[in-house]
Amino acid sequence: MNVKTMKKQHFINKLFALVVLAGVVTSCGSSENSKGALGSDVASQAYVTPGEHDDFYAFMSGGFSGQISVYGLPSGRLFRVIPVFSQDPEKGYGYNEETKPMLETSFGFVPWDDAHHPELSQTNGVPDGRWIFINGNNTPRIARIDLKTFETAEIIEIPNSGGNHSSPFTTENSEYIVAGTRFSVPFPQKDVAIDTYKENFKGTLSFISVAEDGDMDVAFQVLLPGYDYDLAHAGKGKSHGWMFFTSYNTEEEHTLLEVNASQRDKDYIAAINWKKAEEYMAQGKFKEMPASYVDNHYDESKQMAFSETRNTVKVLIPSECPGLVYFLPTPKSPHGVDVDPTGEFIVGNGKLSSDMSIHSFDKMIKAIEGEKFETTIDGIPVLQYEEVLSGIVAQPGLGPLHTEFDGKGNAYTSFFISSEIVKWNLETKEVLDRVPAYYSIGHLMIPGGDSKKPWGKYVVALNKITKDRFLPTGPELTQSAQLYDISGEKMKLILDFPTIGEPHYAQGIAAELIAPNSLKYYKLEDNNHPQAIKSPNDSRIERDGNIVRVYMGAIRSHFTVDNLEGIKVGDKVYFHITNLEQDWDVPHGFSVMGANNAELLIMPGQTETLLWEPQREGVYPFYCTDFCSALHQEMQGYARVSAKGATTELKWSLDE
Amino acid sequence: MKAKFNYLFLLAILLPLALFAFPLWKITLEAPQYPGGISMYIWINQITGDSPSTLQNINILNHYVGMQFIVPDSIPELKYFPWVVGGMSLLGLLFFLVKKKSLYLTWAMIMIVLGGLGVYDFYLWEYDYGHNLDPKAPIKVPGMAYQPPVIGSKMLLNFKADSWPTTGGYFLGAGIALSLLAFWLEKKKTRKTAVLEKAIATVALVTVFGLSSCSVTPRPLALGSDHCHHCKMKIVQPQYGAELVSSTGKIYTFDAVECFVQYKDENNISADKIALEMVVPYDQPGTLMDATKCVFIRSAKLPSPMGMYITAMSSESKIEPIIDGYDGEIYTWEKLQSGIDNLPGLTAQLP
Repeated sequence: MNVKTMKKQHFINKLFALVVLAGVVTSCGSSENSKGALGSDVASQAYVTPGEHDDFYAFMSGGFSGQISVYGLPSGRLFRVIPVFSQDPEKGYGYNEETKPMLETSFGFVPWDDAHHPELSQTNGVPDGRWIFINGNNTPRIARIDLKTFETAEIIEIPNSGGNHSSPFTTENSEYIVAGTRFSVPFPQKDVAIDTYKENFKGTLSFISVAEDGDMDVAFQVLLPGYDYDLAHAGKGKSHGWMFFTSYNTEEEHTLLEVNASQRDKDYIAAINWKKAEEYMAQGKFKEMPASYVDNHYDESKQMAFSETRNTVKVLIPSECPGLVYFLPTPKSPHGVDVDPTGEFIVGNGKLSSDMSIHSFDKMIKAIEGEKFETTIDGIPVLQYEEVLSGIVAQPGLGPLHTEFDGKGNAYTSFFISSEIVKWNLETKEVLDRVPAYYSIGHLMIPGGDSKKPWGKYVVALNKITKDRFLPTGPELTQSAQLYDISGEKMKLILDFPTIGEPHYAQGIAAELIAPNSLKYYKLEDNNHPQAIKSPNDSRIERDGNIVRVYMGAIRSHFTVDNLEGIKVGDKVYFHITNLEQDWDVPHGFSVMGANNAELLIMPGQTETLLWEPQREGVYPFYCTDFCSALHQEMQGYARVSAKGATTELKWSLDE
Repeated sequence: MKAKFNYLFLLAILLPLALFAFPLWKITLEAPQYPGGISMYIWINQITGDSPSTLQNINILNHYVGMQFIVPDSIPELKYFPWVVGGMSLLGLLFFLVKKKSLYLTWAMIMIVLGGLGVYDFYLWEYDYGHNLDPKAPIKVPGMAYQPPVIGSKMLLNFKADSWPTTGGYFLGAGIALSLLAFWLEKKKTRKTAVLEKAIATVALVTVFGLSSCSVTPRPLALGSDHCHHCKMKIVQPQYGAELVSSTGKIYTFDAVECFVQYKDENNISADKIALEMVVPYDQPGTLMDATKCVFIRSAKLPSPMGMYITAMSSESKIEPIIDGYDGEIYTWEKLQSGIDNLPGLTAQLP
């Protein structure tokens, strides 16, 4: 080989090396982008050894499933789906006689809702693990879930609301949770032409008080112009006493909103001084308005739910209550409004804006004191934008929706359109890092990330679209959550996991605040269900007209009576079944052939009731549906059904 | 100087009164689905559990095999035991006031006899519960009885039953021991120093005995249930395996020689912590042999469980009958361990 060919060869080698290098670089790049460089070291961060527990509970809304799902972080393991707004045949929720009243509304039985924002109760601005609240968007409601039992304890309907979206965000000590209407409606509801929107439609922001024992009540409503109130967050620390709501459609349009409600440069964040509202309430400056709404409680002692209808609501009118409400102009249909842990920065996530506007609480107070008003709407002063602005985050991404905080001076904002999370500094408003989300992130969640003391270790992206991320399952694909480690300077994707329904928003909390209080079973001696039996000897059948009540116990591995006779076609048979077990994790199920509802799933010490209306003569089996023991399969019985008018006597027995 | 050992006796006779405040015996049942176990406490006047519902839960479990329900109200001993214990303390008080030293021994002897009877009674109850089974029981295992041990551990189907004295029982034992000690010390009052020496010697003897009871003997590998401490896989091949017995008698099992060597290496186990190093020679499947007495060969025809082709043989003479014309290297235990990282590569030659 001569020198020339050697040089040529050398050049080719170099070129080849470059091509390979480029290949490596691009392939690295693409794997970074789509797979998040899941090396084994990264995977181990989300790995929880079998038998070990997670560090955090994550409560994810089920979105249109109407439920809450409970996951562990960092593993992403699903522990439980808590039935809230939707009937759940698996648990008998909304099917058994005890829980049917939970789904009562002023419209009757509404067995579904769209659950968006779980919100943990707080003490001193920090999640305390007592309850979690969640809003029902469609038929406006708020549910309270007891985190001792992980069961829905109360559902209250919100009157004068047309879609409960800006809800149920809490104040520092859960003095109130709020319920702002997303759709303004005629106030009070009446039959009017839709194009009279501007005269007739109003928006209400409701403050729901939470008592020591959790009992919720509509304390008062603030009547506002007919905008769409989108999201909310309470002030904290120095801004404790204030609640902030975003609004869109300040154009007050009623048709083709995607265009017509996107015309103004700025919409408003409504700042409500709820301490002031309390003063006005004490002074009696409210109007008592007729309303019809239902409050449903689950009574743990009686083990059944009760519905109460309420007929009035107290309303505060801002024009009559100076200092109650101020509007903060905020660019382009702000979606989330998020207050940082110090209470100073009020982040308006202008979803159609190219920049993000961050307001300052201190400046807001100064502007109010100096009366720096741009104008007044229905008696509500509109503060001058420049006077309340702390600064802008310039062009951070497209479609900012929500912001959470790590407690170290950083904010993390989700961008729906550019499908990413952007980390930025609250003081300098400087973008520090960005990481893609797969795909179309809505909310994001840092455990405690909307409280005074975030556990700033992880952020969870709650994604609307998954496309190619998982094995396909026909046209309907799962939605997903993604877990990122944020303990370092750069965010690092460590896990993808599918979710139930739409994981709209979520809340996270350190496991030790909940796990030690988790109930193991209900004490039989505290069971005050009117149809409970405390001993197998109390088993019996009673008839009253065509109502037949079967009082029955379940204990491994039999029903305390298993041969029932004397039931007739046309009877309404109520199976009142008490699980007589007093041990951890020994539920019994109950189902009977031909029942037109669902099964019962009865926890130890609990009594539940299934209604059965037998339609044909014959002998029908019933059995335990929850694999309770080695002889679960033998846990069965027969109910004999005689013809209407037959003379078969009521008879019940076991082992005779 | 006159030591007052009579107060030692006074303490001794009061100690059994602790039985009114603490349970005497504890039976714990352990199974995988009962993390932490279910514990039942036997008092002189009642039977309790970890929670108010423990007895019900034990009864539910027991009914599957046809055992009778444990109903404390139907056990007469629980009614008169408190009187026996109280009475014995009273009797002791009487003996104490009488100031006759030989009565100390008498009291101790009565206590020992009563205690022995109590244990025998306990055994009878256990025997009855364990053997007197409902003929209609859903689960019947021929020849199986469910009598828990009086003291110690025993597997009862899926449950491991542990039965041991607990707080109250210790007080009782201490009371008897102290009364004996008081008697003995009173008797030997004049030779106090010697007594002390003897006491120290006894303590030392007991300690030595206790320590030496941690045996350092190897245990045969249980195929299909023992796991490899290194790779965590189940041990299944009878021709391969190894075992390390630590100086405190702890057993570490391995499915292959290579796992054994790597485990030692990665965990820096020093020689003084090792009592025995055993391997399974290929020519003697299922038996363990001192690794230093074995030879190790590498042949592509003999793939070892973890893929390093290392096979132990009980002696060089056993190689030829198993592999015709083996011409590879023969390693000693020492040589194998030092050279394991640099073994030449081999590819399987399966027949």
